[in-house]
Amino acid sequence: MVSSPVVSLRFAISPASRRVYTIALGLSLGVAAFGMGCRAPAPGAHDRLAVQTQMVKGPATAPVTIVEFSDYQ
Amino acid sequence: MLKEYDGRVRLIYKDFPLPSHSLAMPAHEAARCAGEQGRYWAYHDVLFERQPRFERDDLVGYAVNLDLDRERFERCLDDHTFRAAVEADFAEGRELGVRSTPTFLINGKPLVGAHPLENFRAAIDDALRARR
Repeated sequence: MVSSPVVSLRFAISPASRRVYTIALGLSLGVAAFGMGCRAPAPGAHDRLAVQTQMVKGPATAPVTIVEFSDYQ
Repeated sequence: MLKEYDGRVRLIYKDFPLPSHSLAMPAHEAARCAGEQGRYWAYHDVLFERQPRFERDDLVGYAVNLDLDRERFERCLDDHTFRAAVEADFAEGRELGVRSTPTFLINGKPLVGAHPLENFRAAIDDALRARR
């Protein structure tokens, strides 16, 4: 009987390796979850931002608005 | 870039001092203190030129070099007049999903990190086309 490659692989991995893979999988899922946090904002969300007039360049009537979130350091 | 798209692009700068950058918060507050005296963008440009030299004496020195009222500027810094406003910007950014700097939202579409100008042109042109 030919066993499935997945089953063969499972038996080929030592317990120590399994722990490493489990940790790696956990980290991957964590990174993926973090990435999902960097979602595109809801349409029009930037229009509802509090705007400090002194921190704006360009006319309010401009068809394109760039909101820059930045850190000086 | 703003000159190139004169009248068609508006830039809104939002404070996003990363908590891991200990000198960022006072620098952001200082920029707003300069803005209180009408020199926000001039001070903003100085901060980017001089980063990361943002100790208090540095911040005051930049203000003096821009002919700002020193006493008023120092009072603004020491009273943390704009701390809450900076924190509000940061909270807004987090709410929008911002996790790193710089993050740009071009008509709401994120562009994360430093990019060549061509990428900005492409994103702006896309946004302009979408508005037609």
